Amino acid sequence: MIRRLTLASFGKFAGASFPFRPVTLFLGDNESGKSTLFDALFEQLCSPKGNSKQGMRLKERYGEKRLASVEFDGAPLDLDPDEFLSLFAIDSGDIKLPMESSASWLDRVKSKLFSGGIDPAALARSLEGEASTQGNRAPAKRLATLERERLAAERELEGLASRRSELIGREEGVRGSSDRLAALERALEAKLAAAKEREALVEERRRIVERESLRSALESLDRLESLRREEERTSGYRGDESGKLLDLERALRAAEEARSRAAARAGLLAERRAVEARKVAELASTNERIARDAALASQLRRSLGRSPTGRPALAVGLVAGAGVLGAIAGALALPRAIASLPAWLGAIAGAVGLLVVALVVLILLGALASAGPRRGGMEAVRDEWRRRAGVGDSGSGASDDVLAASTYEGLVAALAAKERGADELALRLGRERSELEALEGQIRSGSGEIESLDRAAAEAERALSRWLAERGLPSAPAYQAARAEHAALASRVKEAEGEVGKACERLGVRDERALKVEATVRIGKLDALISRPGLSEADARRAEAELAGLRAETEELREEKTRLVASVSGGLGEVKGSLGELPARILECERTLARLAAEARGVEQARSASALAKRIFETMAEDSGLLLAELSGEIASAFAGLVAEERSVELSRFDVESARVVDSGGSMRPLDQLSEGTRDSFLFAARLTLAARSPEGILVLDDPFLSLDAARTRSALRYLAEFQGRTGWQIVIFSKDSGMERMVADRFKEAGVVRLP
Amino acid sequence: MARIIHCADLHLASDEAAYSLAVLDEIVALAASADFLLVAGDLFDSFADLERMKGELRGRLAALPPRCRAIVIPGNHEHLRMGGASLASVDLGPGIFALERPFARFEGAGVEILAIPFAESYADYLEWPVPPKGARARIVMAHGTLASELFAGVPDGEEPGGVFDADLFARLGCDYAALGHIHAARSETSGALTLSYPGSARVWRRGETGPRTVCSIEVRPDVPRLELSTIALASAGEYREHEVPLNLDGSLPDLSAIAEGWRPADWVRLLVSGVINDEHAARGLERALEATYGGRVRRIELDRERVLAFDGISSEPIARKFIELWAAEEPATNGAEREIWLKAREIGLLKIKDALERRA
Repeated sequence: MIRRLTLASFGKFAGASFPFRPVTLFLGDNESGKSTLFDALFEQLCSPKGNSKQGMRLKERYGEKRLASVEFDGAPLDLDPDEFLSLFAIDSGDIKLPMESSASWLDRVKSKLFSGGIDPAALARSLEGEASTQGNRAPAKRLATLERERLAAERELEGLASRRSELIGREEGVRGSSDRLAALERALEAKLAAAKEREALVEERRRIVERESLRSALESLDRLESLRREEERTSGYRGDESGKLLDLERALRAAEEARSRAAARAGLLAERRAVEARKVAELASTNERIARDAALASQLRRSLGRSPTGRPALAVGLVAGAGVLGAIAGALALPRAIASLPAWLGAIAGAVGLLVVALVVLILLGALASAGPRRGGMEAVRDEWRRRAGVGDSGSGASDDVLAASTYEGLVAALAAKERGADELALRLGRERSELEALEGQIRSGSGEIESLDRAAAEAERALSRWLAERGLPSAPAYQAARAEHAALASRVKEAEGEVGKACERLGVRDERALKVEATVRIGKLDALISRPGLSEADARRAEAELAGLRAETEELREEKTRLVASVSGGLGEVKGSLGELPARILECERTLARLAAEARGVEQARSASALAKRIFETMAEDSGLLLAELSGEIASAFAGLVAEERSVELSRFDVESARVVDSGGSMRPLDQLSEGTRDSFLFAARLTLAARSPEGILVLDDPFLSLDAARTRSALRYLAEFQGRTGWQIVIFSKDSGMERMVADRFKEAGVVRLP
Repeated sequence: MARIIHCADLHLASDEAAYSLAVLDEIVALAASADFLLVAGDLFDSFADLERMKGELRGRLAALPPRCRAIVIPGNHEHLRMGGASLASVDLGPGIFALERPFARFEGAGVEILAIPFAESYADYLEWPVPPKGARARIVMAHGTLASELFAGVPDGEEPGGVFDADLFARLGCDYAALGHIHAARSETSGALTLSYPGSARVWRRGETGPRTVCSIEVRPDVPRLELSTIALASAGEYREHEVPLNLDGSLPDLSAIAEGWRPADWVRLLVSGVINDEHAARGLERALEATYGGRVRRIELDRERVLAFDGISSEPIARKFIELWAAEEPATNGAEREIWLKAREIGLLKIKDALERRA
């Protein structure tokens, strides 16, 4: 109980002191300091913290240096500021004291009531969602989401696991390929080894061939050298003395020929001489005969007397013939000719013609004359001739001319011929004899010539032999042979040089010496390398053929290998690449699943926990319900006391909004639909009821009945008195209604009044 | 018969030297009666730690009886903070550090061991030459993550890379895959192949709950299958996490029940939750915890992330009422129900706090 409030320095009060009774009425107008007193009282009773809203308000209003004190009877009151303001300090209706929060006083009162003023039912309701197993609520939805994620993760894991199996299977396949690849490699190696062998053979053969060529080069060189030596040895034949030889030979031949010619000539001459001698002898003998004949002939001829020629008869005959013809022709032609020719010319032609005819006639006469008388003598002559001449003998062959002559002339001619013949013969004889002499003379000179020619020939032969002997030749042809041989040798040397030259080129050496060195060296090297000298060309060819075959096979194998390698490494690469990352991905999936499961467990756990908490709140709320019903009853009775009527009050929840009051018309209405007086009465009743539940307190009423009429005010005061009697609380009333003084004095036994100036 | 001790992820670190070396000692003691000690990577926490602590390691390995052959493969951690150095220059003892790529090969006591050093990617495993397999059991050591549901787990900050497929081991003709990198002990058998992570040999980071183990493998000549068993390492202790709802006034509830199970090598983390009056009070809790339990466990800490503050909540009737009713719902067992029950408290208090804030 407060005994005294002293305001040493508080607002407008300085050194003011006020006594308190069980009921104290402070009367005063606005501005009289009621609010100040109220605040001082509030501060003394509640000690609001400096930084709280109330504390700040007091500081702002009254400054830091405010000073007040209160004396208590008995234990001092220490009230919670909000409790005080919300519960013990009752003002009228809408006038509210500022509170810590904007909640209504009813809400604030809840701290003094059960459950700390919080409706456990509300808390239970707030947990409804979290505790619910219903599908449309958060936990179930979260679980459903988690389940979907879990299914997705499981599917992914399944996919990964099957991919893994597939890859492992594929890798095994690749491994099979790898094995095949290994086999291929081995085959390839074998082929390569075989090829190597063949190549070695071919190479060996090549070496052998090269060695051959080198050896032949060396041989060429040897040959060349021996040829050269040979040639050197017969260097005498380098120079061509065949001219000389030829000369010698020719000389000899000439000499010999001259000699043989001379001999021949001599022989011939001898022969001729012999012939000539014979001839001369013959002639001589013939001459005799012929001479005799000739003499005869001459005789005979003379007997004939004439030297007929015979020819003229023919000639005459011809001419005569020709003349006749001509005359005929002329005769025929003449008339025409004369006709055509000028007259003078024709006359001439005629004359000539006549002449010719005359001639011819003459000639004819002559011939005829001469022919006649001859015949007789001819026979005699022929007979004579047959008798004396040596003709008509058998063996003369040809018929003698004399005898044969048929004509006079002929005979004469034949006899003349005989004479001639004898002359001729004698001439011939003479000629022949001189010829013979000439011949003998020639023969004589000829043999002298032969002797000198012999000597010359012998000389020439000696010269030739000497020449040949100097050169060691058996004969002249031998020289040529030797020379030819030498020439052949020289050309062989040239050939050999050519070969050697080519060999030099082939071997790339400058000269023969280098060739020898080089070839020897290389042969030496080759010899060291060659292990199968017996290797034949055929072997090498076979090896080459096999090599070609092997190379082709190797190529095929290589291609297959490349393909396999590509597929293996490609496959392996893919497998490795995928398989390599799979475990991490699988792990990730599994971790996701573990996480989701853990979260689901957490959600379930939270839900169950929420359900348990909710249940506990509900239990508490049940208790609250009872209390609320109790409270409603109490308020209702207080209300009834205030309005002097039984009015039903319904408080379904512990908040203003749910309060229902039956109005004067009998309808249940919410508070805001009631009249101001009724509402204020209700609120007053509610606050008093609630306040009464506190163990200790004080009621500070600030013009609480402003809105109540006189009857209601009296009721309220009566109720207050009853309240005081029940609780024993001190009551402080502030009012500006002076009529309150009497009402208070009427109602309360120990009331004090303080008039504020 | 051969006996192999398979461990991994010991993460010897100079800033946890005593703890990590104690575990190493226990492992070496176990290996003394074995033919092989296989360390499947991350023996050291970083290259810098390797440099600093290799002397300690060498000493202990040298003390192994000659019968036991130690083989260590580098994990991803041995590559951390290497600067310009190379693992090839590291000498952990003769023939101990297996660096040959793609793998090194060892034999002894009737078994064959292929040791794969850590690589960022094993994608080329298809091209690895597989040595012909004799009658011996073949063990393959590797460091990485096996892509398999069993080992996937929720990613908890493991370094990426080094993922391999079980096919890698199948291809290598492996009977037992001695793996490292995943810190939770797991094993799986598919066909004739057993793959196993012993888990981190010591607690390396928060969340590694359960006992720390090594695997022990026995190979008998007459028995085709390898026998696999796990051995817990006492000196490694355990990482224990407890959800502890704070009282409204910010004080800890009674921990004696859960503290009973705590062992000296344990690392205890209390995840406190709830709405309390004053967050400063929560800070004081750590000191209080350290004072009370600091000596009883290797390390104790508080996680205050889920603690919210609302001034006066401890005097709020609704909060008290809620707690009262909630406490009555406590389940009898430890497990999912308990988790839900604890979570309900958080949710309820959060709602109350929001409502209180709205009220104010």
